[in-house]
Amino acid sequence: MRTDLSHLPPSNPEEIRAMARRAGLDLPEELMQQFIEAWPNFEAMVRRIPRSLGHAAEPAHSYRPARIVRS
Amino acid sequence: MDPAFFTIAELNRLYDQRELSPVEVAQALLDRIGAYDGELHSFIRVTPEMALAEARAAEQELTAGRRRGPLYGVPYALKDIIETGGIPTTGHSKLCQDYVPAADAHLVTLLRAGGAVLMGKLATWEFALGPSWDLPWPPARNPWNFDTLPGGSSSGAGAAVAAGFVPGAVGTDTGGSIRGPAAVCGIAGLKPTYGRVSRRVVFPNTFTMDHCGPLTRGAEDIALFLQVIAGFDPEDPGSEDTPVPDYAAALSRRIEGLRLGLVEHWYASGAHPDLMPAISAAVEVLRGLGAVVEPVQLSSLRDYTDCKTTISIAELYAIHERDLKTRPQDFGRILRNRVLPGALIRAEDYVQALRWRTVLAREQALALKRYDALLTAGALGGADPADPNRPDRLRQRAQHHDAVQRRRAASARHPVRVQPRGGAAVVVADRHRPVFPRPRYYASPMPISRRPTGTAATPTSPEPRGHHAN
Repeated sequence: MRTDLSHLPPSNPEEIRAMARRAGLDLPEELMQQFIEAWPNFEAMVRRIPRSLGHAAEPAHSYRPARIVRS
Repeated sequence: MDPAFFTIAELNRLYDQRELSPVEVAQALLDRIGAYDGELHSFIRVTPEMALAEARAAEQELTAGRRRGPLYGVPYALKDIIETGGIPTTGHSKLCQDYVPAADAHLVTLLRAGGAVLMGKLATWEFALGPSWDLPWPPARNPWNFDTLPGGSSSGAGAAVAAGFVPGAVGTDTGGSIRGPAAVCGIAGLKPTYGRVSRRVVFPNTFTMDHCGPLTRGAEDIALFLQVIAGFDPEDPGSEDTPVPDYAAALSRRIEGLRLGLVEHWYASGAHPDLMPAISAAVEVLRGLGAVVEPVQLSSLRDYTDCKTTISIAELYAIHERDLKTRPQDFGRILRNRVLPGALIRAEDYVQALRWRTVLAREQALALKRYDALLTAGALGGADPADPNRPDRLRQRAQHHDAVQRRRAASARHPVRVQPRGGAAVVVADRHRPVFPRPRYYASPMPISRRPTGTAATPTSPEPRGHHAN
């Protein structure tokens, strides 16, 4: 059973452009090229995150309502 | 008497004995900065008039027999992402090069109340990510070798302390930004427990992993510095409302019987060849002093890095989203290429990374039930070359683990201290305990030069390049 997404194929440049568009990024072509070059490293990293933790596994957040209200 | 390399503890003693005055020290260090920082670029802005005014005020009180704490009359400098009222705080970025905050960060308020003498604002990486070369100010250089970098992102802090410009500085650390510069500049640095030092009006990098902490020349100075800046801040949602211990008192505890877990598998391969012998020597010193050192196995560096970086870029993108969408060309290339991918991190990726972080933090907590502290390398390589064409290390991520081991502790929010010795061992202690080994460790015969050779050279520029304020 797979525990992460590392088996997925890397996104190609057109897919990266489409994802960037959907995220609201309208980059000049030079910057888009840099982004297309950079993204695969991050994509591989994110896909290695385990996806099989138990239902009750808590995220490591620190939400403290009283503190938020005070500030 | 040249005060350039006196420690904070030494300055306190010399002030008490009236052998030096805060004004003499501040003036001497300002002169030194003026003579040498033209090559080093550790300061973005020097504040000489303010420094001398604060030094004069401290001197008057000291003469009258009053002292407001261990940093009274002691010069320091701040990484330029820590806001200072009335003094520009740039984040080393074009986006904020004219930003003048209205108020001091909480930790600056504490330093001012403690009578410390602010010398200026220090170079960093752009909003603590880099190093970039396409910014309004050049990156700081390493005073041990100007052809290399001092690490980052508290780059100016590491360089300034190592160069004898200030005995202490405040940096910030999200994934090694205090520990890395301390390691490659041969000084001490502490990433305190999360929440111990306020982050209020400090430019954020990753809300859930940002720490402010001191860089100094040794453990005793770290203790003295932390004593002043630690404390609860109700305006920082992450601040811990717990008593601040007497850190200096921990310096006199015995090392005999201390149980240390050695995380050797993090640096056993791929490290600089000098590293293993240096860490082994440090371990033997600790064993000789009576510590029990045993190997311990944790998850891989890559696991910690994947977890930390996913969380970081998602938070970084949220912080900079507006500017990245409207003026992306105003960021440096490195920051832009590292943060823009945060736009494609999905909510479930971020939440899964946060859940994984709990797992990784728990594994460390369990290890720290067996050991008083964990020991590993502070950095796997030496200082990076000062090469503007060097590829971003994230592109080599799969093979390159340099500095990555520091991220594991950021994930768990434990305090980590880097030693000013070859190999720069990192101590990861239980978050409720002080992280200060015995002075006897520091008296051990390990090689170190106090004066970086770079600053012994004749300055090429008679005027400092840093901008002067006030």
